[in-house]
Amino acid sequence: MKLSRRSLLKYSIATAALASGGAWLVSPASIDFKPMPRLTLKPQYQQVFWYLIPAFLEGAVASDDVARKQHVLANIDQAFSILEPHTQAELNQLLEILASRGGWLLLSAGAAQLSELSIAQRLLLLQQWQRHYLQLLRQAYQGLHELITAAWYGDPTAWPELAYQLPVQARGLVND
Amino acid sequence: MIKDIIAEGLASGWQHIDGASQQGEQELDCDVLIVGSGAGGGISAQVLSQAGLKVIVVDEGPLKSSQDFKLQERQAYPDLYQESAARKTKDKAISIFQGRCVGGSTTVNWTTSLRTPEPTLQHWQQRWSFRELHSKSLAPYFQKAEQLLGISPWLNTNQNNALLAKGCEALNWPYQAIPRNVKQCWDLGYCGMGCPTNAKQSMLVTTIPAALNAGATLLSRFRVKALQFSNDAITGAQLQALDSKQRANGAKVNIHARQVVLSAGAIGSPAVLLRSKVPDPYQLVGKRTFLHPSVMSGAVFEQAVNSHQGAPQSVYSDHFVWRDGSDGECGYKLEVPPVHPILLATKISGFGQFHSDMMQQINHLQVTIALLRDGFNEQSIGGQVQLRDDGSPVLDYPISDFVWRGARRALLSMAELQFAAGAKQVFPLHEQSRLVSSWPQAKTMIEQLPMQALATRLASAHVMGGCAMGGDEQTSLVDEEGNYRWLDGLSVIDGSVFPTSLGANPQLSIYAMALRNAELLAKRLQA
Repeated sequence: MKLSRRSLLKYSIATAALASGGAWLVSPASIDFKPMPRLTLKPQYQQVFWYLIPAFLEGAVASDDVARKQHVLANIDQAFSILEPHTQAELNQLLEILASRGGWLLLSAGAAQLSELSIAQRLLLLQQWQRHYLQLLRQAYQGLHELITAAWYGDPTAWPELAYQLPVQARGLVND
Repeated sequence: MIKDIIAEGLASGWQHIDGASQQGEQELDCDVLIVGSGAGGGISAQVLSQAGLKVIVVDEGPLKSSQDFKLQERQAYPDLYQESAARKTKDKAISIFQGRCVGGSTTVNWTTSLRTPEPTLQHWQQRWSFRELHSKSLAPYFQKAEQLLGISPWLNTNQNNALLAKGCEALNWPYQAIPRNVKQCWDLGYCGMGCPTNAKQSMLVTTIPAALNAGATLLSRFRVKALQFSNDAITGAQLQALDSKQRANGAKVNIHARQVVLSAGAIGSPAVLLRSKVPDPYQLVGKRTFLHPSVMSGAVFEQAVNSHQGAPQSVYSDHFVWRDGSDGECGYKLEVPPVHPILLATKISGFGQFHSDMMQQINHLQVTIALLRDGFNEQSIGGQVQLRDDGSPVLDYPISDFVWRGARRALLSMAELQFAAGAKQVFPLHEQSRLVSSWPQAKTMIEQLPMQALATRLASAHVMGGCAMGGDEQTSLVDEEGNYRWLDGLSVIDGSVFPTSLGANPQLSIYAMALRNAELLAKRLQA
């Protein structure tokens, strides 16, 4: 069955309404996530990123590195706030699906709650989305990939580990 | 200390209105309203204002100057690019990089300045009934633009470009030096984030200051809501002011003009026409909009390459562009892009440890791109600009089998080239790709990769077409002088008039055609 974007959204939202909404993601095991105040992103959306950041950025941002994950999350929030309204709307739809029980069950093919998945399980899920036959899931994967990887690697904090630096002769030009 | 051309100009009395500080509603009058300040709009602004006409130039992006350019993608992309450099085709399969600032894409492009290829001009004559525009008639305008903008071949190649040349030499593929529009360039390598030294001869530091010095008025952060017309003639336009986040802030300006020059680029110009519901009897607005869809290939070298340093593009190869004739199989041009962290992180496929390992190799990566030449074959008809519910444009660009065949051949050529240049490993940017260590391995893998939207990574910095020029009113919207066929007082002077893609980076083609058509327009308006 080919699932159109519209019908997927409709199905997911309906299923989410029957379930317990975004709150279900906050499982007892989820003790390391506390929504960051002053961010534009809703707490349940922050939580989706919280668990996907160390998967997309494995090798750069460790699962137990709370400070670095918070840093990336704040950068995502900043990037999100300046996206075009239509892009924000699409991302909100995606995050709503991921944060809802019904949507998650649909997109994760029945996997456990995101907060309970090991890093290995999260990586497997990303691989499924990356190569999924549904174009919608590949779109979602690439959208998240772009936002999360840009949020980390666009930050000068990440550059020393890459040995990337601005040109020496430009230092006087770019200092505020 | 770098001279701040913009700050000095504003202090000297340039007329500039920033939409972000605008309130209420006001009326302005001019002879010519120019929509857009990039390659087409910038040239038109200088020519028309220096001809003594009262000119208003409007751009939806902000006015920035050299001291705003801090060499950081996280600042430059939201400040200077359409949709924060995250613009995509409708199905999100192709990333589109376009400028959105005063100077347009010329403020952020990589300076490559090539004349329109001869086979392209010949194709336009044969297929699109061009009579006046050909290499001979355009030659003086190419020369003038080259002189005005300091365009000459750049011979100081960085390693990224040098490895493209080395691979070509090893395989006996011809390659050439790239002319760039720079004067006293510091060779920093950050052209895509705005030039902090004013070396790049973009419209921001050349034609726009010239126009303002000649008395033109600049409106930045204003979006054209719709053109206004009556009895098949243009009367002006309604503008919305935008705040610092590019959102409409409620302020408005109504402009009365006897002529509008549409120079908003190949997505923006059709969008203005669609929003304005202009007469279009053959339903051509926004159709045949072209990219150079580009596939990419990364190669890991033992030695440091440092592809972020030095002129981004200084060598190219056209070996595969016209090999099967202009209307034969999809040709492709080989170039290199600069490799900065966000650009690499978002375009390199994969995630997790693999992705971070590739990022760790940033200084050892050579990246080659192949720009696919679309629009010359009846199987390649490009895309269509459409409007979303909020009036913003989106490019629907289904990728034809014809283009996909070209994409696979291009991935093969790039891998062959990179191994010939001494690459240790090659990684074609595809979601099902892996690092391979030899050309035979690469060939086997690439031949099996599914060529599919959102699997093969595609990007483009070139958008053309959507307001096709030509000699036949049933297939073209504007004549060879850029006059819109169905409204008096409306001209289109930008890359949207190209009836196909170019097979070359577009800025110099736009400059030359804009010089010609703006001069002809100035004469008509002065008559």
